[in-house]
Amino acid sequence: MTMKKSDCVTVRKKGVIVLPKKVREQLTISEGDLVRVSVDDRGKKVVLSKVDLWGKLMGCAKKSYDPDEAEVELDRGEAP
Amino acid sequence: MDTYAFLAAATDSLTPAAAAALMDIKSGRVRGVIHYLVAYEVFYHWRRGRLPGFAAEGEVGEYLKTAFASLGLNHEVAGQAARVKAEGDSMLEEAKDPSLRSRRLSSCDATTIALGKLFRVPILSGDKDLIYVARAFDLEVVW
Repeated sequence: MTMKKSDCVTVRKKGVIVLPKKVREQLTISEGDLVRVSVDDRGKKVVLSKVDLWGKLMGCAKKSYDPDEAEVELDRGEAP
Repeated sequence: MDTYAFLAAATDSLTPAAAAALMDIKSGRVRGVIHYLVAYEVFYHWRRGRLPGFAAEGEVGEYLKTAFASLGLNHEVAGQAARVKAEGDSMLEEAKDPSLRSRRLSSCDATTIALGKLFRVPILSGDKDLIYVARAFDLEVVW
């Protein structure tokens, strides 16, 4: 992507910025997604990387066990 | 949000209402809240291999920290949770549904219900004993 003047965004109170639409589209970032914010090794650039932590949860153990049984396991462990 | 909902999300067994509630939390439309014991149980289930999508304990922690607000526990919550546990276990012993009579609330369940009572917020869970007692305490349970 070529950086243009229009790609500059204003940093608001508490560091809030709006990611330009074309950046969101390129990285397929939508509402609720998480992004990792870091500074590059030279300390010159802010790096945003999409992090799909929700994707690591959803369906990661499809039908491989019964949540009821897993839940009861901990309850049983506390029984006097 | 109770531990059960994390396990149901992992095993793809959320109800449509629960899946919608989880999407509301993900999008930020609704603030998802957990407490220390829910985090403990999620870490436990990860250690038992039930949340294989997370490669390391740090990823589990990062997910919980970024996706949920965490409510602190104090003596008021502990007292309320102890009351919920004592009264809730008696309710379960006398439940009409025989499958519930042998079940008991965990400390985590009792704390979740206590916080639901204190803050008047709905609970997202499919845990049968938690649902039974929470509804007896007049709390809304989404499942």
